[in-house]
This record gives sequence, C-alpha cells and structure tokens, in this order.
Amino acid sequence: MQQPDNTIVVLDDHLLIREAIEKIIAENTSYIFSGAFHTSSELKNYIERDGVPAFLLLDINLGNEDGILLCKQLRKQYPGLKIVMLTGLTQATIVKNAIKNGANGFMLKNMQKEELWECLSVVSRGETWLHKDLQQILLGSGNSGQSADNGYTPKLSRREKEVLELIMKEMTTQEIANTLFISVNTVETHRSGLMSKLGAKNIAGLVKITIEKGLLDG
Amino acid sequence: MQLIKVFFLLSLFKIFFFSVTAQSNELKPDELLKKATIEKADTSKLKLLVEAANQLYDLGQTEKMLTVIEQSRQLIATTQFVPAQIELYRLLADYYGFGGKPEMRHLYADSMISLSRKAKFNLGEGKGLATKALAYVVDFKMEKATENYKAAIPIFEKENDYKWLAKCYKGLGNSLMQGRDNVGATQQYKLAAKMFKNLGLKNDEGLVYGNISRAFATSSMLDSAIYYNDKASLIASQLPGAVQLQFITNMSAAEYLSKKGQYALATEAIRKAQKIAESKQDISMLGAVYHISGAMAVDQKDFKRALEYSLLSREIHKKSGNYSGQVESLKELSKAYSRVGDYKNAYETRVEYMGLNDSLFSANSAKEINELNVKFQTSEKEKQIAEQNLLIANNNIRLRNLLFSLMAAGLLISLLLALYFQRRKTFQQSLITLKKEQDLSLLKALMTGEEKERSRLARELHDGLGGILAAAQMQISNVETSGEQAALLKKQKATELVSQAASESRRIAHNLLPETLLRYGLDEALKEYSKSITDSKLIQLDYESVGMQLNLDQSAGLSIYRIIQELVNNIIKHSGATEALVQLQREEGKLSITVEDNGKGFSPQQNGKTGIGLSNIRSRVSYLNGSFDIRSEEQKGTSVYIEIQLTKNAAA
Repeated sequence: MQQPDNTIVVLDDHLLIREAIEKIIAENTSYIFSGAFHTSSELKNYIERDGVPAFLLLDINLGNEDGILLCKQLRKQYPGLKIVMLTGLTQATIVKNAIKNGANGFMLKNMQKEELWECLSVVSRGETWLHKDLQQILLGSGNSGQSADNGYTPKLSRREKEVLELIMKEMTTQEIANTLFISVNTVETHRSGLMSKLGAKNIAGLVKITIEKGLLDG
Repeated sequence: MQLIKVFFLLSLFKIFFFSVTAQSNELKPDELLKKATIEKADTSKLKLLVEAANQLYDLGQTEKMLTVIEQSRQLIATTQFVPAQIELYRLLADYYGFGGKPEMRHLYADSMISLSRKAKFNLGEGKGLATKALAYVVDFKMEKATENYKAAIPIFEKENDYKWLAKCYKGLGNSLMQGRDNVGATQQYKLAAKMFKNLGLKNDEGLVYGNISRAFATSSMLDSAIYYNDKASLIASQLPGAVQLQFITNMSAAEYLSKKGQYALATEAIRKAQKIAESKQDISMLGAVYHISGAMAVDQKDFKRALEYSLLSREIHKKSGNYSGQVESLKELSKAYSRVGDYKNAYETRVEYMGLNDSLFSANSAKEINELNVKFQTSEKEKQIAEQNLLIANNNIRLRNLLFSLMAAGLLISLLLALYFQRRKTFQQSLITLKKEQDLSLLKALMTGEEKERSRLARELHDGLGGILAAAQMQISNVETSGEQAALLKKQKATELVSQAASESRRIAHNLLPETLLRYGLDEALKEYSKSITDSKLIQLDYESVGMQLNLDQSAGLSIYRIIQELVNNIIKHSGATEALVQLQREEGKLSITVEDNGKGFSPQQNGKTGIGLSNIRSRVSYLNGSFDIRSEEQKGTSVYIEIQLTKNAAA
C-alpha cells in the first residue's frame, strides 16, 4: 500500500528533533507529516499498517541501530520509498556509504527549512540530493589512486628512498641493513613496500621502474 | 426501522463500484491502454492511463489497476500534471477506503486538498473536500462530513460540474439522514435525483430514489417509501448491469411487503436479492439479506426462524468487519432471544450492543448535525473577525517566542560547554598524576580508561548536545518574523550562532573519537584525517597504505590512530614543516608505520628532552608490543618508524 506522494515520516531517536521537524513540515501545506518514530520496528509496524509514505527522514546514529544498515533494508523492502538521511555526520566515507546503500538524499541537521523543501522536490524527481556543505567535502575525496597505473607516482618515504638507492647500488639486504643501522627484517619490509607501491613483481621490475620514472633524480 | 443503517451502509459502500459499470459506453480499459502506449504527449497519455485505471477499478480488476497506477505515478512525477494526480488520488482513496482502510481515504483526501490549493485547481479542491466528506461519513462524523460537503458544493456550482454536484447533494442527504433529519435528507436527495436525471445517469438516479424510499420508510411513511422504491425498480429493470440497484430495490420491496402482510410477494423479492448476493459472493450483501429475512420472520411471528437469521447475520457482519452492521445485528439478536424466551442470552447480547453503540453514537450528535445547518450560515462572519484578532495576537507572540528561543539556546550552549570543559579539566589533571607512575599495567588501564572517557564524551557531545543544537536550529529556522527587519536580523544571528556551536561540538566529538574509524576502520579514517589536515592548510599531509584492506581490531586501530595523530600534531606544532607523509604497511602479521616531515629536525643533543608527547607515544607503542625508531637531521626533517607485531587478536 502506498501513501500519497507528499507524506513524510521521521525516524530519529531524539524527541527534540522529531518535534522540530514536525513543526517545520506542518508549516508547509504542500507536505503532510504522517508520523515520527524512534525505533525501526515502530516504523516498520506503521508501514505495514498504514502504507508506505513518500519520504523518510532517517537518522544514522539511532542508539542501538545503524541508520545506514536500516536504509539498505528499507530500500530492498520498499523500493518506492524515498529515503533522506538526516544526520550531523559529515564524513565523506559515511555520505558515500549511505548513497551506496540506497539513500536518495543526504541532509544535515543544521539545515534551513528551505533546504528541506529543495531536497524533497529534487529527490521526488528521482535524483540524488546532497546538502551543499557536503558537496565541498566530497569533491576532493575521490579515490586517491593507490595503484601504480595511470601515470600516478606514489610518494616514497625518505627511508624507502634510502633503501632504493642502496638496492640500485646492487647492495645485498644484509649490506643495506648494516649501512642504515636497521634490521634485515626492516629492510625486507621496506623492499616489499616499495614493490607493491610501485607495482613491481620483482627486483628487476623495481629497478626498471625506478629508472623509467626517475624516482631518485630529485 | 433498524434496518435503515444496514441499508445505508450497503448503499454507501458499493455505489461507486457499480454506478459507472452500468453505463460505461465509451472505450474499454484495454483499448485505452493501447491508445496510451502510442500516445506521445505525456499529459494526454496520463489522462488515458488514469481513465483506464478508473474503469479497471469499476470492473474489479484491481491488480491490473495497480500496475496502471504505478505507471501513472511515474508520469506524474515528471509532468507534475495536477488534474491527473487528483483523479488518481481520488481513485486510490476509494480503492483503499472501500478496501477496509478508511484512514487512507483521509490521507489521500488531505493530499488532494493541499495539492489543489497549491496549484489553484478549484475542481480538484472540490473533489478533495467531497472525498474528505465521504471519509467522515464512513467514520460516522456527520458534522464534519456536512461541513466538507457544504464547502465543496459552491465550488462545483462555480465550475459547472453537475455530476459532482449531484454526488455532493446525495452525500449531504446521507449525512443528514444519519443525523435523523429525514425531511432534510429527502430534500437533498431530490435535488441529486433531478441532476442525475438531467445528466442521463440512470443508475445513479435509481440509487437516489432508493435512498429517498429508505428515508420515508424511516419516518414510517410506507406508501411513499413504496412509491419511490417502485421508481427505482423501474430503472433497475431497464438496466441489466445495475445489479446493485436491483439488489437494493428487491430488499426494500421485501421489507415493505412483509410489513403489509403480503408474505408470498415479500419472500419472492428476498429470494431475488439473495440470488444476487450469492452470485456476487459479497458477504456484506448476504448479511443484509439475513437481516431482512429475520425481520420478515418476526413479522410472521416465527421467532425461532428469526433467531436463526439473527445469528447468521451477526456472524457475517463480524467476519466482514462491518462495525455498524454488527451493532445493528446485536440489537436484533437481543430482541430475537427475548422473543423465544431466552432472557439470559438476550440480556448479555443487549449489554454487548450497548457497549458498541455508545462508542458509535452519542445522543447529542443527531441534534448537533441539525443545528449545524443553521450555524454554518451564520458562523462565516464570526470566523472572519476571530481570524483577524488571532492574526494580531500571533504577531506579538511570535516576536516573544523568538526572543525566548534565543535566550534558551544561548543558556543551553554555555551550560553544556562549561560542563564539558570542567570534565575535561578534571580528567586531564588525573591524567598528569597517573603519568608519574611508570607502571605499564597502570598505563594500560589509563589508556583504556582514556579511550572510554573520550568515547563517552564524544557520544555525549554528539548524541546529547549535537541533537539539542540541531533541534534548536530547526526551531529557530521555523520562527516566523513576519518580515520585520530587526527580527529578521536577530533570527539570522541566532541561526549562525547555533550553527557554529553545532559544528564546533561536531568537531570536538570527531577529534575525541572519529566516527569513520568505528565504522570503516583505520585505513579509511587515516585517509580522511590526512585530507582534513591538508584542507586545513597547516601542512600538506600525504597518506600511503600497503596491504591495509583487512581491518585491525578496534582497540588496536584506535591506538594506532592516536599515535599517528600525536605525531602529526607534533609536526604541526614544532617542526615548521610544509609537507609530511604517513605510511602504513601491513604484511604477515606485522604492521609498519612511517611518519616523516620536511621540517627543521633536531640535533641528537636535543633528542634527550623529548616532550611529553613523544614519551606518550613510546608508551603506546610498547603497549602494542612494538618498536619505535626516530631519526632526525637538522634542516632535512624527521622520520619516525614504528613496527608492531600484530597478535592474532589485533589482526582480527
């Protein structure tokens, strides 16, 4: 059973937040506030009884429950429900994870009411909405490119450079350890770290990449 | 006369279901759908779909109807075409409303009204009001129903929509009849009948005659009742599809004829009605048949048979969930028991009846509805005056509210922050005392304690203070300033302050215990940490990780995060570096951490006077069963290298 396209419910463990949202929605006659809940089981019972509302405003830290996990479940169970996360958390990883798990929008609790209306209308068109503060945070957090491909050169630590220099001078592991006053074990760790950072399969590959990329030139 | 309500409900619940079927002479739903698939323009397509859904509903093909509705919903989302949306909502209101979900009818009616008002679509508003009225009729809230019908009628008059106008008159008649105002009801019904007749909607006309007949029967005017029932009968005989009408006229005929002592004719009529009910497999119709049969048995003084029918009727009403029918059948049953001399059961049934009936009808409600008719006309002017007064009062209250919320928010913030810093201070003092003791077990306890305290503080900040601040901000944003410049400025300022307080408390909570670390592990947390440091423009901090796909257990992860945080803090505070690198590398049960900077470094002589930060890091590393190596060259920078043996536990 599906409720009209302008009904909103809230799931948040804070009474104050639930009340504030109810008041805000009551002022806008385009939307109907149809319920506030503080646990997921309350919400699910409501949906079974009274139908699926158009929008759900969903908190992430819900006492014992995790809003993102809940979002995933609800998305599967009620594909028509538009879920907007409403939280104080702004970390890029959390935002991305929420969207990945089916959230249609990500709203911050420091919102202005106008932002809520904008969010709801964007989300109802089937698009994804992010609070403006988040767009800046997400902008620089794309994959930082850990692979050796795409011409990206990972940053080497000073110690790794020292070890690499000595490898290029054809020193053995034992000799490198003696020269740098570190244990053989540590040298091996640095060497394997270098190889995986630079994407080399063996020492020959490591030497080849070092020369090609001019890693020790600077 | 108690049969009235049963009839009334019956006609109410099924009218829409049959009325259109009998007269649909236009395209069939399949043809409409076919036309819709080739139609290019979205709004025309939408109109066709909605019409098809309407007809599918009338034909009882609900599953197909729901798929068509889903299709329409998607089109509505893109076209925002309000008339189709209203029509669709009206259909859904009926579908759910008649399907045993009366509260959904309210919801959809509210939506129709608010949507139409926003789009200034008058006809939609009228339909919304009429739907709302019907929802109230079903709830037996006749005052409210009357109110809504009266609001809808002028709209339909203005828009010249006579079909809906007729529906409203009929609805108004229904609610007046419920309020026992049979004369008023008959008036409204006659208006409706005339309109349906002019529109050529024969089935609807017939059904209204049926209602008029019932109204006369309620007033014990049997001859008039029969006259109108015959009119309805005549129409029914001309419309082979009008099953509902045929059923109702037969039922009424049976009742009236039995009252007149013409039992043979009455029995013939009730048989016809029973046949229809059985062929439709409709239990509420069947319930009504049993009800009338019982009443007929009473007329013939065959009380045993009457009791049997009463029991049957109650059973069926219970099954169908028809509340009002249940009430009526209980009353009948009680009478039937007393007629056969079973006074114990009669009493018990009567008590049950009274319990149910009290909740349904208050003695006043009938009177109130009648008075409402008069009041409605006079109250408009009073309302306007009251509204104006309210507006003036509200303006004053709003300004006061704003000041109150400002003061409350300020007080709250300072109180909570003072509490937080007080706690932090005491905690740091105890930290210094404990540091003096170099006992590792104490250190261990300290660190777990510290983390616990940090996470407790973080939780309190985030869940407690954060929530309150967020709520405060929402409330302030909702304060109406009615456009006054001074109030507007104050509101802006308050919003800004609370917003700052909220982001500050978030920042502190995050420093105490990063949410990302808890949720997604060390690697993600460090990625984010290095980005936030770089974004802060203090230094350029790079993060490299090798083999960190598997997460460490939480307490090891947290310790390592703290070590790195502390090292980076030292770099920022003391080294004067512009760039730094954090690297984590994990292989075969070993985790190596490199933290380097390009700062001024320090000479070996200074090395002895390592600050409290560094010794803190050393303790943490030793607690994790690791080794710590620091090298520095002046003007070149410092590098710290840490190796930690991961126990099975920590590698989990």
